[in-house]
Amino acid sequence: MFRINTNENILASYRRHWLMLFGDIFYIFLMALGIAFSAVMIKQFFPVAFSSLYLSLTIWFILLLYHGLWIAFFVKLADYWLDTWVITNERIIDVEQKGLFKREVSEFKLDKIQDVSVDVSGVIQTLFGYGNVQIQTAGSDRIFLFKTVPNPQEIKNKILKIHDEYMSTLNKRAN
Amino acid sequence: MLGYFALILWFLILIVYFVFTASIFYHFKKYSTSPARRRTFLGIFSIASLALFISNLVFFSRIPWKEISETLSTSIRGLGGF
Repeated sequence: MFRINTNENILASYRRHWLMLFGDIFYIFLMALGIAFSAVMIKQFFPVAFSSLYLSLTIWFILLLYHGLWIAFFVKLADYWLDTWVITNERIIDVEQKGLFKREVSEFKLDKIQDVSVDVSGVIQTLFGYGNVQIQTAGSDRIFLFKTVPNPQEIKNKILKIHDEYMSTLNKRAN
Repeated sequence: MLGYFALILWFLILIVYFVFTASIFYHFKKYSTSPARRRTFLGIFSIASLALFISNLVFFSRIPWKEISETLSTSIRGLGGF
């Protein structure tokens, strides 16, 4: 996944809010319901599909669709579960899983942090207590984004605290 | 003939399913930081996938392809009469 140095400790790791996973799998759940509903409708209007001649074929086809949905569910779960932000005592690592066949890992040292801000927008984000944490780093225009993480204010405070501790350690070493 | 066509189609779909299944295993095994959760996820995933595959296999083997083929060809011939 990523290498942790000998003197490095993982202090915190975060994932997106569970509501994001719920949003993703809700469509799959709807599709599963849609298949069941379609089967009922077909039985109602085309009963021949459920006659003894075609019954096995119909069930086989329905199971094939459910197998596909089951895999899609786990693809979404993997996407959610493997998308993480890790804070160590030296750096911040952003692991972004995009589907199953694309993965980006980026990181920066804690001394590069210039500004940390929180963005909670909208009724749903406020209600469920999640939002984005943006980290502006020195020397680049890139903004690191902790997307839709729970308790963004707490995460921001934690990052700033870890940053302060890291900077004081660096200063002590320099003196 | 119809049975062979369905078998090839099913085989192709299974290859796609297999690629995704293997990829899910690979990703969870390689990148998950929580071994307990990984075991739970993969355990549930494997058991249900296997159950779905076996059910598919059972129902596929029960499909009376010959009779379906005969019925369909009779229907098509009937349509040709119009």
